[in-house]
Amino acid sequence: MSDPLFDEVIGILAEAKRRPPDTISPDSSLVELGFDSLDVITTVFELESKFKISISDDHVRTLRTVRDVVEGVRTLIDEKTAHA
Amino acid sequence: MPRRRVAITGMGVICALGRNRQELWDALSSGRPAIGPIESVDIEDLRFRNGAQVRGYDPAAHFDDNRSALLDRFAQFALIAAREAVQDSGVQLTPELRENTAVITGSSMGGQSSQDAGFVDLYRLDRHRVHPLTIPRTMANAGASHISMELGVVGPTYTVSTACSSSNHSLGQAFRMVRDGEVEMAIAGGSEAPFSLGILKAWEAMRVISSDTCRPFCKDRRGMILGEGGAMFVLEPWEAARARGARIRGEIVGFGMSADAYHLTQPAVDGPIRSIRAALRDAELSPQEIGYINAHGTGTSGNDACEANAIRTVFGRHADSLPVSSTKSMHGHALGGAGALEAAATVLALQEGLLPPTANFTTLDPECDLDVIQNQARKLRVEYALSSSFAFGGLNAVLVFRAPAA
Repeated sequence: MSDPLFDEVIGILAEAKRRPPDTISPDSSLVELGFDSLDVITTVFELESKFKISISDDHVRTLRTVRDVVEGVRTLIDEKTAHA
Repeated sequence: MPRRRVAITGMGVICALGRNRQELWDALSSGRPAIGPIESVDIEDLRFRNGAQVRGYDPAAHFDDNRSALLDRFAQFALIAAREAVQDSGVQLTPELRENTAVITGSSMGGQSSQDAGFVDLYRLDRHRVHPLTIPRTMANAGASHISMELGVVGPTYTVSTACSSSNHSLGQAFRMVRDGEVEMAIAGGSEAPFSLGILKAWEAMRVISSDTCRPFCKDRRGMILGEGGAMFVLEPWEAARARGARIRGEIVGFGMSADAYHLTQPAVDGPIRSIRAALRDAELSPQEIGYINAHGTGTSGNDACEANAIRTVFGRHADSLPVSSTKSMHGHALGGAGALEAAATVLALQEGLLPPTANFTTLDPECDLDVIQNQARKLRVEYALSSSFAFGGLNAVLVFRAPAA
């Protein structure tokens, strides 16, 4: 089943590393995709702007896979919606 | 010309731990950190709350209004520290000595707080113009220039900006100029004052600032704490200092530099190893002769493990009993001024025979398997100590200090 949030986040990750989205899967590790520490903070910055969320430093340190990123973003969007 | 011994005859300091040398030492020796809520900036919209600021600082106590207007806080700190250092040295600045004295300062960010304030006028307050003193306040060499003008020093004067290694590079350059006979005296060190909203937001985005405190080499470390301040030193040829009966606080005996050529922000182990080895070689010392290391020790996950690895590689089994501390746990990370503050801590430690601790210490990270001095100063008289700076951009600078002769 298609998951629009996955597609959007993968699009941002693909753009960040200049690679085709179809080379990125939910289980891809960020390190394997070539994300170093500067790539991670830059991409998180993009995600925060795009989804109007705030991702804590502690949370960023736990991100290992694409799935971690998507689920983290989803949780924060859900929390924001619940508080709206 | 043969190499000359280089004596430290004067020291001046202002930072969160104290407004002069004595206050700094009182805090360092008792392991009392100066980390607390940031006061001078509205931190409502910041992810972190704490910093190591100079509390209760009043520029009017040091400068008249006309002078203050020309000086960003970072240059004020440079000047205050230089005044204390020159006074401490007791040196008489004759016209001849003024021509043969260098002023070398380090700063990473210069007066960007002044620039930030100017840009608030421009972009937020829509004033369509910026204060005319913004450029002279912002330039990174302002500290060096003001020291030179106030003291009438007309020798080589410049500023080194290599991020967090700035002060170690400036002190190393000054050391070599005195050692090689290029000048007869140097006033050198560094300063920084990064507490303005624009700069703090930029650091926030780097995600390296701790949300509570700075605990280098600990398992639960969460990053660095920004600090501010400055420290300056008077360096003279040892023979000349002896001849005029100066009190010698210690010596600089070696300086080593290297670049990682690896990554702008991620530390590498190879560069630090090469800079430590270069410093030891320059000092003509074996690793076993080093008795204390004032580490770069930022408290970030990346730096501390990498630095510990470098120390282990260079010092081998000697590292089992080689005391290491990061005084950034107390005075915060003053960026381009950090090396100067740590040089002050190291020189005082050698002079007093008391090694300052890493404050806020909880549990040693097994990846930082070193003899870390934890929370309480260690009474130990050592002859030689290292002070390391490993900057963003992969630029490394290491100084070797010697205790004053008994």
